[in-house]
Amino acid sequence: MNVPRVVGVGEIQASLGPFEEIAPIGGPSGSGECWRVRVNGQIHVVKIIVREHEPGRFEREVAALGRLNSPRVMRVFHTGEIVTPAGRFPYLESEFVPGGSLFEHLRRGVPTDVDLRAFLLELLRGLAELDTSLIVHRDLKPENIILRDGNWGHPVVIDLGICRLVDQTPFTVYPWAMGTWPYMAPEQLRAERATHRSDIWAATVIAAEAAAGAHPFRRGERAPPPDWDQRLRAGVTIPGSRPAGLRDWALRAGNYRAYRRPTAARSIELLEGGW
Amino acid sequence: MTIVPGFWLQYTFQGADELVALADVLGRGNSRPGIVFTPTGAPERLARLYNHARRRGEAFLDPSGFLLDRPPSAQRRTNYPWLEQAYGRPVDVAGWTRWMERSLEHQLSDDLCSGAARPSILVTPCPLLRAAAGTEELYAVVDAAVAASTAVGRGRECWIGIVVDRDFLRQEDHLTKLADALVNSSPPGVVFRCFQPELAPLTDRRVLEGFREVVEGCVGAGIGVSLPNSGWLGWLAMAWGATGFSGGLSKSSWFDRMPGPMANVLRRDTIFERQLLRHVPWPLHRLLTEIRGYDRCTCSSCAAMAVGAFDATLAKTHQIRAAHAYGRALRQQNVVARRRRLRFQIEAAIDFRNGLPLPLRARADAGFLDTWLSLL
Repeated sequence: MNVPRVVGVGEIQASLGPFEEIAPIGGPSGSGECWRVRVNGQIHVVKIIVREHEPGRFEREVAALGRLNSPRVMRVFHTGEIVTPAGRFPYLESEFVPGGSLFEHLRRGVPTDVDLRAFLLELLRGLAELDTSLIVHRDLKPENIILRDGNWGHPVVIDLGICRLVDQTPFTVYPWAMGTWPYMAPEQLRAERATHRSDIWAATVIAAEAAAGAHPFRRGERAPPPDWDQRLRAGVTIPGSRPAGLRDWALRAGNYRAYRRPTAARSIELLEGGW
Repeated sequence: MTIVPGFWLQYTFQGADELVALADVLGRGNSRPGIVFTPTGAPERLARLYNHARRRGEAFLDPSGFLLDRPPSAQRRTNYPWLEQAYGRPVDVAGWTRWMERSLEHQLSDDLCSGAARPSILVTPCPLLRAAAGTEELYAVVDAAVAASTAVGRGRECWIGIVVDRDFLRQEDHLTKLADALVNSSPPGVVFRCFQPELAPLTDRRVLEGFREVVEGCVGAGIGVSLPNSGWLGWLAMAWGATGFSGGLSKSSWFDRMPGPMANVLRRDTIFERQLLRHVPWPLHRLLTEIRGYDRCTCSSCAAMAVGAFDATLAKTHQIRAAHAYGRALRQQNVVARRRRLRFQIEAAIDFRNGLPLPLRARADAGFLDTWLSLL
């Protein structure tokens, strides 16, 4: 179903100045609407926040992205407000990462062992950088990872819209559950505080999906089935054809209990040492 | 990690001078135990004894924040400002942070150190966290501990103090939240206490498993775990990877007990029976020594008692000497070797128990050994 966009091209151009090119990306989803724009020959993405699910969420995303300068996390150029008769909407202009999302790539097929290793290590390096910057992503999923230029070795994490900044007094009041349920860690599904290790859980599910070509827990359901928690407790499985080191890591990183999961930095050591 | 693994002496109001002097005695031969001080008694005496101990070895102050929830004494109110309850119990992160900062400032001040080195580690105080009250306070306390140690610690190693009731360890959801909060706050160490309504030795399997989860979870994340006042339970926890445990001259320093009536209270004249790894009444001990194959303790305290009747002070120092020796044996070992060693010692105790004549076996009441062995 096509949902009309809240902010039109004319309103964007009026606030941000004329673009050489502007086109919508995807459909409106979550809290934002995304546009692909060309400025001085360079392609950027403009994300406009039209619905606030949580107070301060946009400001938090901007603050989080401003802390990072990494090729593994989408860079932000500037932020501001678009004024329309319907209201004032914050926006964020960031780099456009060409290459397609992991979700799109997985629909075309699974990576080789070499590609999977390169992808996973680089993704974990990105998560380690988020950890160092005291940021918890909270919504890591294939749609939020772009393979830069289609290269498995260059994943870029995008959309820190529901991230948590660990060193700021949390204004999230628990119980609070947000994210994308097939990739949410058990503690997130219980509406408890998400931590860096919740992102490690999501990375493990993504790795298992990439290794097998199918989600490790989901069997086509559109909502969490009644036995979902039991499936998560049973643990992530990696096909026997994949390297033993990956299976060993997934066993630990996919532990139901968050405190038993290794950090991203430790995960890198484990995978580099025992792939 | 700056604190020495193994057994530490636990400072209490009664016998404080004797305890610190005992560290000097045990310290001969380069194995002096550290001392866990507590905010009790006159601050001048505490500072004097801390000064004496810290000049010779390791020492830190366990700020005992759980006293905030106990009836205040005038002395405590005057001498240890974070326990005064003047403005009530904090209710948010900012309030807990200010409360913890007062304690950390005291630990770094000349009021405690008076010319000696600062404590081996700083420790943030913690109120008694009750599972029934939910986890909001747990999160607030852990967040505050991180904030306070950053603000006041000034680069010194600051461990997070955590005090919980046993339901935090018995209930899976609370245990998970507790361990998650500790591991994700990434402190260098945790000073952990859990209050119990039954006396040592602990036999509640769920509580013991909870202890193991907390210790193993922290140690797996590179976080040290000190268990003050834990006595022989702390010795068991060293096999799970705990850094250290403590006990002292007071019976209460060997176990964290909930205020109120207790189960299985022992008579006064008891002694730590090495071959059963628990306290037994003195008359039973005398009977056990007559059993063939009984391995007599050769410590100087037991040697002094062998020629006379029960002596409460010697019985206490005997236990301390045993804990010190057992802790020292584990000091340099990794977790695998520690487990092997404890398994061997507990199996030996089970063999001894099983070889006793039935009446004595019943009186020895050492069923806990099987539970402990199964957790290794």
